[in-house]
Amino acid sequence: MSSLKAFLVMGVWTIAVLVGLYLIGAHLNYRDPIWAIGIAVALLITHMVNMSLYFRITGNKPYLWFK
Amino acid sequence: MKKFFINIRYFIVPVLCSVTILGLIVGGPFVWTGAVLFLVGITIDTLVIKFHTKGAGVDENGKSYGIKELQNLVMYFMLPVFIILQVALAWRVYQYTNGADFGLVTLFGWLPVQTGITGLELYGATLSAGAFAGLGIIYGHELSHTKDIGWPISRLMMGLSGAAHFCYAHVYNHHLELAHENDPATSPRGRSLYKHFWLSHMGQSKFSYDLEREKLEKQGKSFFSLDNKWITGYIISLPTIILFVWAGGIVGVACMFFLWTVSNFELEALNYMEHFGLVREKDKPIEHRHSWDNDTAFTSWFFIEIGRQCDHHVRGETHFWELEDVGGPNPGWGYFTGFTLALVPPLWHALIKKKLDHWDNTFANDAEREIATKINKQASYA
Repeated sequence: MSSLKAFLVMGVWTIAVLVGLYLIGAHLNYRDPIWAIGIAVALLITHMVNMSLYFRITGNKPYLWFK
Repeated sequence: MKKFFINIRYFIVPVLCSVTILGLIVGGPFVWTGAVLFLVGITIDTLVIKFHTKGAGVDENGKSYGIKELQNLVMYFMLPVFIILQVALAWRVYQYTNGADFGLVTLFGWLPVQTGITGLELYGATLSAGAFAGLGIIYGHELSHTKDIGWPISRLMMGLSGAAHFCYAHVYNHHLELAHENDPATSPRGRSLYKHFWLSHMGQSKFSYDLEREKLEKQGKSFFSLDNKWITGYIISLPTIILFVWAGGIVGVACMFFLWTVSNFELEALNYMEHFGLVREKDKPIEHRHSWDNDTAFTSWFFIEIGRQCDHHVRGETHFWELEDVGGPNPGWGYFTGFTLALVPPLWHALIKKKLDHWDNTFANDAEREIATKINKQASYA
């Protein structure tokens, strides 16, 4: 259940970032090196936030052998 | 001459990885080279399933046949090779998104190169690159056990696949906690490879995350610091992300995501096969029986003796060419064969269940047998 909740929150966060990138025109400017760096940093932060969200929401539960 | 042949048999991956890069550069149907070589690997490993090895061996003076300087040099050399692999794929992504014209040009006056790439070929190129980026992990793993220049090279290698956290989690978590639920890289009985892929990857990253958070708290520093090795591990991956974003925007990111998924899937498949279902009491010493050895000839040479897990986990800082056969548990198949079996969970469980029965009866102590019985019940292995 906690994993499902985590996936939902991660999904919402990822979509929000992707929509944000689209709205500022990232898909049109990615060949500009400055834009490429900015987009890459945004994606990396999104990934790291997703990981943190999963860790915080699920805790140690997913890794336990005995349910 | 014997020493020479013993050493060069560990160069299968460097050679095949270079061939894969060449396939990406030449283009056309050759972009599938890496994927095809992987299938050939499965075939050969299965065909030689009866041929087991004993490691690099020692000479009459008891000295290993492995040449330390040569093997280390090749492992270090693999870092630029894996970078070139990614650049070659990014170049193909660039061509795809630019809609490059199809044609034939000659590179260096002798190498025919097809310009332009179809969507299907781009898929093949990414699969090929992913397959060999994943195999790069065997070098990242080996070097993560070193303290010199090998350590940062290991972090950089793993960072190319977005998995730099592996180095800390592997040495300070997996090697201390294996065959116990405190080690996310050990799969309990009943778990599928697909579920293990996710849990092992996330669990190892969580270990590094928690480790750094506690360390920085003790030091009175902010979590958001360049002293945070979980953060710096991901920063190592930034050049790869920039490269693929620039090369192909959304398509580039999709290709990179696929590349990372394939390579990390291979990494977690190795963890899966190395300790599947084995159990150990908390805080009891790690013994040979807590790992599976996979020592078919092809696996031993291709995976630079990484399959000699029983000895590796008792002598963690021993070079791969010095690892020995210690008579530990052995499923009898190589990694390529085991990987193929694990892709089909019902088949894997049906086969490994018998091996685990043998382990429970032959290798486990009473306390471990008790834990195993409990898990067998839960996993419907009983």
